[in-house]
Amino acid sequence: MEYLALIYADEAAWERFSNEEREAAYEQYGEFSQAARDAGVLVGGEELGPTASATTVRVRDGRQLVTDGPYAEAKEALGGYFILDCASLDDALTWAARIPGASHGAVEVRQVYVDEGATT
Amino acid sequence: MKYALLVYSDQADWEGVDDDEAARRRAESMPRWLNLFEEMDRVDPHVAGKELVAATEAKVVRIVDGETIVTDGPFAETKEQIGGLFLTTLPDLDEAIRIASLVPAAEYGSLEVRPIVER
Amino acid sequence: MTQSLEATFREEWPRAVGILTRVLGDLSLAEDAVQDAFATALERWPRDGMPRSPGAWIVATARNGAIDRIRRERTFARKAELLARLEAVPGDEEADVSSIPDERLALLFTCCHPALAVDARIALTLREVAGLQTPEIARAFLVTESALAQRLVRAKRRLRETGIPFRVPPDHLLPDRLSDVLRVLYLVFNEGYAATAGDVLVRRELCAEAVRLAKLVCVLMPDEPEALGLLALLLLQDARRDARIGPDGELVLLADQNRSLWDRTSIDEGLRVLDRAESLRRPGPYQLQAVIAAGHAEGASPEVIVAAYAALERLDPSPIVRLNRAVAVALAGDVEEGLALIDGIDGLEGYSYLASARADLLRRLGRRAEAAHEYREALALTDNAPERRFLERRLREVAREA
Repeated sequence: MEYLALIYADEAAWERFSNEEREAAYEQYGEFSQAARDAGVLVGGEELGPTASATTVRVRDGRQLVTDGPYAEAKEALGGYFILDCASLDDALTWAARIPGASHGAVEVRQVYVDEGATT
Repeated sequence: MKYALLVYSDQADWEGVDDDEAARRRAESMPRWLNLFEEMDRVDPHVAGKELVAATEAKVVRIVDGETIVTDGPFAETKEQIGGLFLTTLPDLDEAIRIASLVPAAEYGSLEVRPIVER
Repeated sequence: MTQSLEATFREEWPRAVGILTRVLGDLSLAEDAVQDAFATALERWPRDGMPRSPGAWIVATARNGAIDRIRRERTFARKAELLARLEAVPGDEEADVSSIPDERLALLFTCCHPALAVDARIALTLREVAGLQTPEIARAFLVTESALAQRLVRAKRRLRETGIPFRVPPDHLLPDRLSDVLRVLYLVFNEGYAATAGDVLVRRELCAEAVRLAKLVCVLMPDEPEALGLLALLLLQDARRDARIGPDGELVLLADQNRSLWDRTSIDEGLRVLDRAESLRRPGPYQLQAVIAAGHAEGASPEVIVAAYAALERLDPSPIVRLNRAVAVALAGDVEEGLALIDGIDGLEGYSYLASARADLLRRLGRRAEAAHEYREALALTDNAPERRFLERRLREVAREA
C-alpha cells in the first residue's frame, strides 16, 4: 500500500544553514533514500522549492485568481515528500520516523487512495 | 521545469458522506477530470498523480529527545487540506497555472504550484 | 549626471535589459551586465562625448562584459550555450542594433506577471522598464533603500525559481495579462497622484513616469483600446495635478478647483487619445473611466457622469467603482440614494474614502452628528496630511453646527 510522507520543516532555519549544514542534511536524506530503496519501499520523493517560490491558483466564478505565495503561511512549511510502498500503516510510520525531517520538524503520513474499481 | 501541483480542499464537505453520495459526486465531476487528464496527457504524458485518503486519517510523526511520537493528524490546522498532488514537467509557470486551474478542486479549493528542486 | 545623459540612460536601459534578458534567459544576469555597461558609460561619455548610437554602445559593452564574466566563471551552468548566444549579439559599438527585436514589451509583461506580488511588480516595472534607480523608487514609495533593494532581489529570484517565461503572452492569456500591466501603471500613477502617507499629496515624478510607460504600451501595442483608455485617463487626471492642492498644501475637491490651473495641453491630448480608443469600438473599464474624467474636464452634466459610472459598474462591479458611482448619484441630486448605495457596499472597511464619502453625504443631508462620526472614522484611516487637514476642517464645521 502506498503512503505519502509529507515533510514539514522550519524554512527560516533552513535559510540560515551554512553550506556545510545543508550538505550534511542532504547526505542524511541520501542515506534514508538509499535505505528505503534497498528495502524496496521507495516509490518516489522530491524536494520542493521554498514557499517564496510557491504560486496559488484558484478559479472562482470562471475567473482565474493567481496569487504569490503558498496556500497558507506557517512557521513550518511543506518542504518535500516521499512516496513509500509499505505493508501496513505501522511500517509506513516506522519508515517515516527515519526521515531526517521527523527529527527537525514533523512528517505527516497519508495513505494514498486506491479506487477499488480501477484496473491500473 | 518540474512542478508539484498540491491540491487543497475543504474536506469537511466529505465528512459523513456515504459511498453512494461519494460515487454520485465523483460521477458529476468526471467530465472535468477527463478534460484535465486529456490536457495533461497532451502536455506531459509522464505526469504522476496521487489522490490521498481523508486528512482526518493522517498521522504525524516526530522524533523528540530520541523518542518517536506519533499523533493523530493532520499537521496543519487549516481549513483546506491536501487531498492529492501531481508531479509534472512543463515548459513554464504559465502552463503550470493553466493545468492547475483545470483541476476540479481549483473551483472550490486551492491549487498550490511549487517548483521541484533538482540537484 | 546631465539631463540629456539621464534621459538617454532611461531610454536605453529597458532596451538593453530586454535584449540581454532574451539572450541570457535570466533577468538578473542581464541586469548585471547592463548595469556594468552603464557604469562604464557614466565614466567615459562625459569625457569622450556621447557615442553616435548610445543604444548600440550599451548593448555591445554589456555583451562584451557578459562574455568576459562568463568566461571567468569556471563552473557556470550552460556556459557554452550562453557564450554562443552572446556571440550572436553585436560586439561592435557602432553596429546597427535596429534589427534586434524590441524586447521591452516582453520585459513589461514579465515584470507585471500575476504570480508576482503587486509591490514586486511595481518595483520591478519601475526599475527595469522605467529605468529608475533604486533610491528614486524607494523615495517615491516611502520605504528605505535597503527594503526596496531586498524587494527587487526577491522578485528577481522569484522570476527565476518559479519559471515565469520571458515573453509577450500568447493570445489566450493576453487580455488578462494586459489588464495586469495596465493595473500596475495605474497603481504607480495613483501613488504619485494621491500618496497614501506623508506630507506630499502629489508626487509628480511617479505620475509622469506612469504616463510615459502608458505611452510606451500604446506605441508597442497600437491596437489595444484599453491601453489607449488608460493613457487618456492618466492624461486627463494628470491635467488637474496643479489645481488639486491649495496654496497651503490643502486638498481641493474637483468642484472647487481653479480650472485655469488645469493643464489644457494634457486635457486636449487625453481627449484625442480617448477618441482613438473609442474608434476601435471595444469598450472597457479604463476607457469608461477616461470618459468620466473627460466629462469632468469638459463640464459634462452630472447625469452624464452617473450614466458613465453605471456603464463602468456593469463592466467592473468592484467596490471602489460602486463607491464612485454612489457619490456621482448623490452629486447629481439624489443624496439619499447615494447614501443607500454606499451602505450596500462590501469590502471597503478600512478605506478612508468610504468613510469620508459617507460623511459628506450625511453632511449634505444635515445629519451632522452622524457626519462628525464618519469624519472621525475617516481620520482614523488615513495618514495623508493634506487629506487629514481637509477632514479636520470638515469635522470642525459639522461639530460646530451640531
